[in-house]
Amino acid sequence: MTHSVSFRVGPVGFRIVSDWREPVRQLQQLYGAYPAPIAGVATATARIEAARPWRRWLRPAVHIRGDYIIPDALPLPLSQGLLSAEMAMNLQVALGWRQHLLLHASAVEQGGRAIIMVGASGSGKSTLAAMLGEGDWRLLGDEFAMLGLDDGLLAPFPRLVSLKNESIAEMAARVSVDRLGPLIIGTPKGSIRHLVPRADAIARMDEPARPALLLFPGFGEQAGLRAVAPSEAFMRLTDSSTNYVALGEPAFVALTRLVRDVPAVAIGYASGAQGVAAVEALWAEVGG
Amino acid sequence: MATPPMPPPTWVAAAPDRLVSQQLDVLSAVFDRASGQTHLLAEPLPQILAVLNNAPGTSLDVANRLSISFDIEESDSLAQRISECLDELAALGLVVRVISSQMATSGDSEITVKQESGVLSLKQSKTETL
Repeated sequence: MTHSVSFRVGPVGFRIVSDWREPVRQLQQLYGAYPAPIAGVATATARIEAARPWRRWLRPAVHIRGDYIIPDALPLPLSQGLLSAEMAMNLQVALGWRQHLLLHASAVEQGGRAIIMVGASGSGKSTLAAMLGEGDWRLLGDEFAMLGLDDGLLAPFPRLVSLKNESIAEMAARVSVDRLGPLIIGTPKGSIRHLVPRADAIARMDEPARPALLLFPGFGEQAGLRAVAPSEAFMRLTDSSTNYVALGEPAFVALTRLVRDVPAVAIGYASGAQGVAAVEALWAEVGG
Repeated sequence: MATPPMPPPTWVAAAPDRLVSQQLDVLSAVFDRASGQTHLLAEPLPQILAVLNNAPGTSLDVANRLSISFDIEESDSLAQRISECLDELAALGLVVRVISSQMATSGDSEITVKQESGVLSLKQSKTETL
């Protein structure tokens, strides 16, 4: 017997299929406020299957599958089924989505204008977006920023925020427990806990925003600001995109326009609160 | 028997409609429609590409054409630097080196020049016979 759940996040209709009930039940709960896919049609399907048929009962481990697969992906223990589902969803979008330029970035909006935060794992972009998203900002997304190829607007993609390690306690102190998923420990990235975005982020997921600031956060780096040249921003954004090469010329046009039109700044900060204060100060300067 | 000296190589730039360029700051981003690759070029590479646009030439021609728009002094080191730049552009597939016998075809037709890096289609209304 297989279990499944469908829901829509921004432009993407997801369908998650699993051999097990538990990850699907957790997804149903966490994505409970999200709408169904348009016309009931999922554009990305992810499967969480038994690594070997008999492993469904004996030492359960899960494989991530879907329209796109990574052949050698390590099976994860079933206790990390929810994480597998989230990874599978990321993978389907990262490899399959062609309607927007995908940047591995978080994004927040205020007054129709957006900050795109780009950085490697550990740069603090998820935590910053989550903290801003609990304040005067609307969370547009934690994992992918979707840049429109023609209009240059950011399409919201407010997936669950993936909180890691220290930021789990920081956010758990600010939000009600029904917005938090189970604590998943011992993952390749340490401890992970998913956060459901605030209700306004989900309700307004079809409202795009105009990019106004490119931010390169550096958690743990020396406090301060540094202007980033358009060519450096361009290089870092092509690096952070999963579909820049596949999209070809339209991506080149969209990305060169972005880095020419929008100021780019790198910030260093030592704590979440310091990061938020730096972003707010910077936003006031760029005319937020 | 004396062998005649080798003529200097002539350089041909990729057809202008093959490249999309955007100057970002000191670097220019160039998208190559033929290869699907994006290049970030520092000065004077975009300027060299521009002066070879629709007009193949030797490195000396390039130096002369650059000196029309830019305040540069001709010297051996300049010629050397331009040769290096042309080699860099060739490595990216944005220019090709053509020896004179291959340039002997003239007329209004499309010519194809075979190079180690592959085949580059050139659309030119007129090619000079060297």
